[in-house]
Amino acid sequence: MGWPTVTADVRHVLVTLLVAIFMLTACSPPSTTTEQSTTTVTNADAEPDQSEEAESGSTTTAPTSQPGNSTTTTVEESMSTTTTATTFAAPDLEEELSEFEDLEALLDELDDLLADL
Amino acid sequence: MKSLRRITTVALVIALVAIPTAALALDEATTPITETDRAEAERATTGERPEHDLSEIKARALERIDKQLEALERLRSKIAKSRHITDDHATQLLRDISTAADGLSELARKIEAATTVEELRQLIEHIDDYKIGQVLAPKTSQVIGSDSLVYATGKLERFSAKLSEITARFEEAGFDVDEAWRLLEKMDANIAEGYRLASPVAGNVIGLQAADWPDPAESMLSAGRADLRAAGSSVKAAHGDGVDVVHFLRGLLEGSDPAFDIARTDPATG
Repeated sequence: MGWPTVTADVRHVLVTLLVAIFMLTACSPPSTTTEQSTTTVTNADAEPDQSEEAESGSTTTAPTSQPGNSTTTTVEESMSTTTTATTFAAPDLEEELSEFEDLEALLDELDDLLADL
Repeated sequence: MKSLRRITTVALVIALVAIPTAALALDEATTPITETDRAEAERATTGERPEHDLSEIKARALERIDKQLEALERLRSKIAKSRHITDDHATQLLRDISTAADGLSELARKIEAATTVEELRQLIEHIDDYKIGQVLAPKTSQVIGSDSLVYATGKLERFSAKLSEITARFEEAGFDVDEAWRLLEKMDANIAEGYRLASPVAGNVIGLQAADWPDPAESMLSAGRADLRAAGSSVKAAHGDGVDVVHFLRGLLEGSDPAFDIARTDPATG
């Protein structure tokens, strides 16, 4: 019993599929794990985050050889570390309370009025 | 013998009574009676002023009226300078002042036209009818004081609200602001007390007229004075509380935990 007869068209389709599967497998990127968290404490008037600090991209490649085995395995780790920054946009008290600066003068004025009762 | 004794007794009694009386009479005769004494005696019987000259009496009366008109002008100026008196209160007080000024001016004209001491005496009695020193001046001061204190409590309320808003921001950032909240609560209580005391005074005294003196004007003005002074103390205390909150918050910024990255807003850049 021999191989069934395959037409040239069917062969062409099969070859194209195989090539496509190979290409997809070869081009897929290596998987990395990235963790990032940022906590920001700010207020409604706060400027955009000004002090976020992050350290990232620490990569270690460790060649290891197994005795009696000539295969070299490369372990690649990708790590990302983010420092948590707490930002408090401190109010400028003088600026925010400037409209109340005349209270002192008002109280002096009241002193005079009350002394004159 | 008996008659001799009677005569002696009578003579002794006469001597005892007559000698001091004669001495007193002599004394009176030797002391000169001055013009002042005569004038005083005359005033005691007629009730007239020492000046017999009509023009002199008139001049003195007009001088008193001028002083009262000057006092009214000072009250006008005080109202004009007051930044916090309400328009309604200012209008009402200025109307009272104009009424008094018109009345005094009319009185001055009548005094100038008077021809007899008796007529002058009757007119002079009306110079103090307007009770400027007793009613109009103190009620003007109290209305201005009341309105100014009410304005101050409103401003302090806004100050307190702003401080509360800033304090809430500190709290959200994790600062311990319990002391600021305590001070703000005290501040609000003082503001409320100042308003409670000062607010009714203007309305209570502005309607007082000269005819209300002494009752009920005297007691009402006295109560108003006391309430305004107490309100002034409350307002000052409220301001002090607010200033303490500002100092407290400044202290938090200066001694803040390094874990907080305090981003200061540059006023120049907003």
